[in-house]
Amino acid sequence: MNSAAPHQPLLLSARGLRCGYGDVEVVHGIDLEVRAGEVVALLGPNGAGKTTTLSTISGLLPRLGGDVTIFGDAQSVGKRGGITNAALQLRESGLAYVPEDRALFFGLTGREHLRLAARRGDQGAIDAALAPFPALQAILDRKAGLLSGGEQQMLAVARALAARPKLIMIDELSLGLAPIVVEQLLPLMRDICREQNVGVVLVEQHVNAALEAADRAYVMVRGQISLADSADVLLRDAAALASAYLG
Amino acid sequence: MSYIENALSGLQGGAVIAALAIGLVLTFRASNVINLAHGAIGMYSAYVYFGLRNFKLASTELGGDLVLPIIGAPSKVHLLDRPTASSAFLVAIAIAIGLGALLYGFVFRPLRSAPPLARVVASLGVFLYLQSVMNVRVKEIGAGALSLQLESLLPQGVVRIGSAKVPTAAFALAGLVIACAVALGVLFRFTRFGLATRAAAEQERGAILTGISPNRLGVFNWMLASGLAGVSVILITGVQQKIDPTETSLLIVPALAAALLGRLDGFGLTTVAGLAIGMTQGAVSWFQLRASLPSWMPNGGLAQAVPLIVILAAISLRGSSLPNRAALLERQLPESPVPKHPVLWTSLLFVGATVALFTLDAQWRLAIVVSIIAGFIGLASVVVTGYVGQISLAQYAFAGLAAFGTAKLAIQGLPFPFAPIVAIAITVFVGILMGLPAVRVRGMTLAVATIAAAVAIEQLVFASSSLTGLESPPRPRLFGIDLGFTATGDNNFRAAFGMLALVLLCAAIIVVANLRRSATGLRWLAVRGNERAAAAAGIDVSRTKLSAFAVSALLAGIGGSLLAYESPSLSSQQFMVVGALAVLALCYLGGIASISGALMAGVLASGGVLTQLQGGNTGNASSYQFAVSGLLLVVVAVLYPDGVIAGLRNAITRWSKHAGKNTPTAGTQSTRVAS
Repeated sequence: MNSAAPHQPLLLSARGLRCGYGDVEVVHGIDLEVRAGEVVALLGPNGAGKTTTLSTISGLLPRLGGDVTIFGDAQSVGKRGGITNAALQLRESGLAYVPEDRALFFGLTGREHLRLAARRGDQGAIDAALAPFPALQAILDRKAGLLSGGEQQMLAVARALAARPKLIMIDELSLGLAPIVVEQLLPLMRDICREQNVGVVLVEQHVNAALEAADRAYVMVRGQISLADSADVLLRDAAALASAYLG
Repeated sequence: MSYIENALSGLQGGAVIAALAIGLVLTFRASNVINLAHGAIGMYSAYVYFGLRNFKLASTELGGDLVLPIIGAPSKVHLLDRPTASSAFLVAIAIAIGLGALLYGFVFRPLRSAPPLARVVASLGVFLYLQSVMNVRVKEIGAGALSLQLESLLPQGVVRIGSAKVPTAAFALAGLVIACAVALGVLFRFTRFGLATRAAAEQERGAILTGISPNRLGVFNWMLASGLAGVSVILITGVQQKIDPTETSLLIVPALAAALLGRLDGFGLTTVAGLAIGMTQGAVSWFQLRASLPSWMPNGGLAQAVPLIVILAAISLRGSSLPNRAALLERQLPESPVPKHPVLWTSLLFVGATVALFTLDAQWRLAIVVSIIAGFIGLASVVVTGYVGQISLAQYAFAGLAAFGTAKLAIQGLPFPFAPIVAIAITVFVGILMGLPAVRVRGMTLAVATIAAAVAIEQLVFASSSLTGLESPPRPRLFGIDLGFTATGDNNFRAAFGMLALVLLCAAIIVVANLRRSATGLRWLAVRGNERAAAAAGIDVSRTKLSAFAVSALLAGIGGSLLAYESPSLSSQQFMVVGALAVLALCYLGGIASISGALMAGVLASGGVLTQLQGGNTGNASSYQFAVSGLLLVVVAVLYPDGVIAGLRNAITRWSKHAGKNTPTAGTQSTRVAS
């Protein structure tokens, strides 16, 4: 099942993307594509540059080189001062990013998170964002700092959904979560992707769980893409995957 | 019942303290800046209002002139014809709001991810700039309290409560502040704006990912805070009939204390604390008039100091000895390189300074000694702040204790090496006491606590009648050698004293360098990096901090003792907390985490070697000197938030790396040089 359906609009396209911190380049020119209605997994060992790639695409880090087109708009290379605005504009146009540390406000309740994230008065979006997570309903008035790791992760995803995004990028959805929770959350993302026709990028360490939820996958090693193929193919060909991981 | 009358009248002052404290909370929440210049913004806005309303300015009968706080620009421009109270008020508040927006946009927004100390330095620069420019303006256009008509916008008259007569204005002001606090509380609790500010204060990245613009929130909160500062200072100036660029700006100290009590977070507790400080000051001043206090007790000092001491105790007791799990780690201080070849560098310094002392003229010798003394204060800051990460602003208070102690003991007959030694020992003891709050509070809270402690010492000890105008101690003599500083004619500012100071400084440098390289230094840096991790590694965090405070007080004490012998007479003015702030700022720019930073602070210190290079201590210095240094502090802090030396070091590293790409062999060499 290769559902990178060419008739679906291209949400994100990166060509020769180079990213890093200051003068240190971490990601050395990679190509990525995400279309509406597909789940793309970005896999790779620690230090491959996955988080750096997502932070750069979402506008939180300045890009060192290459071209990025999001929702049909070519993104200008961010200047140091313009990072905040770039990230805000991207979010405004429909890009949601759930970073590795979830970036929740520990002093605010879940309800307050969703109220801030949704457009003014858009209760429908809040309800829709909560629909996949019935467990969140009961604890919406608890401060985020008091929630368990899994509840925090659900809240972070719900907050991203409340803005009605067209493309969601989630960094380590499974980080610190019990395997059973991961097994629930990953297919959930796939359902959301199908129902709302959004694009989803998952950075994952749990290779098999991610491949089962994804349509396509990229394997990143030391700042370069060493393998890109449909998830089914990769699931079957464990040897190719292993050798891609080893560079 | 008279003390009740005094306490209630104290509500006036308390209301302003509360209003300024609310502003501090607003700016802190929106941008993590403790804005030391907050009172100065209110002060300038009050000068704008009373300048516009003033009918007695020399050039015009009608007033309507706007006082400009810009170096090089005309002192004032004509803005309005026949301004009414309301139009002048609106202009003054609009200017305060604009100033807040400018400061945020050009100074504090660029610094939002800089180390906390860089933000302190920048806000201090703004404080020094506004305060000294306005001092110049007051002299230039005679806008001093004497010639300004300070009208009150609040109802006159008194309210009788039993036998007590309290000015109506006190209640009006207090009511106004409470109303403001309630309004802000509602705004922040129930509106999306308030929610967003709270969110952005906690997590800037999260805020951006939630679609909140921290910049827009920051500007708005700064405008709100500055406007509030303008309103409150204008109103209180009218009521109390006094305004002064320095004194009014220093209203920030009790306001900081009140804001701390409210944990820089809520408005309710902050407002109550502000009002309570004012009332306590009122009540204490009554008590002081009545009770037969010992004669050495300074007159006004007790009223200023008592609430500060109470607050210090309160926040110290409330803190915990290790930061809790949710505490955010503040960004680290600049890198602290291990001193290499300290003996070689110190020898070079010794030889150079010795040659200079014996060949240059008297003014140069004075400048070198001033720089050496400032270098001691700088070293004290480097140890406690640079190495251990405890932002302490009490160095000048330590120096002052040692200076007054030395002078007092020596005048009473204790011979030379013993008078300073005893005084310094006392200072070290006080230094350890001063370190006690640091065991339980940290970061900016500690910075504010040390400011409060320094002001308390200043008000209680230095302002004491038995110490003011104390003459300098008898000439120091050791083994029959005259080490005195003064002499007649060209021999004045004797090199012998300079040598004494230089030998002490060189010894101090080597001791500090070796401490930094020893296990003690490692413990210091571990605590600086992460207190919880240090504790987990078996380091006694409390003891480590106290040891740094002790060493710091020792160094500042030696500097203070030298100062006692150096100055013709001692006054509390020499040890004002503003001076300590300035030295810390200079140190920070020089590189707070290295010995060279301390020496740089010495060179840059007012009256030191740099002043001498620029034309000397006598006369030539422009009246804008302090304003210019304030401005420079701001500019340098924004350009080099890690300090100038760290900025240069980074530039060299980058350059050598760049060179390394072209020629590999040269690259390895230059990297080795740079590292």
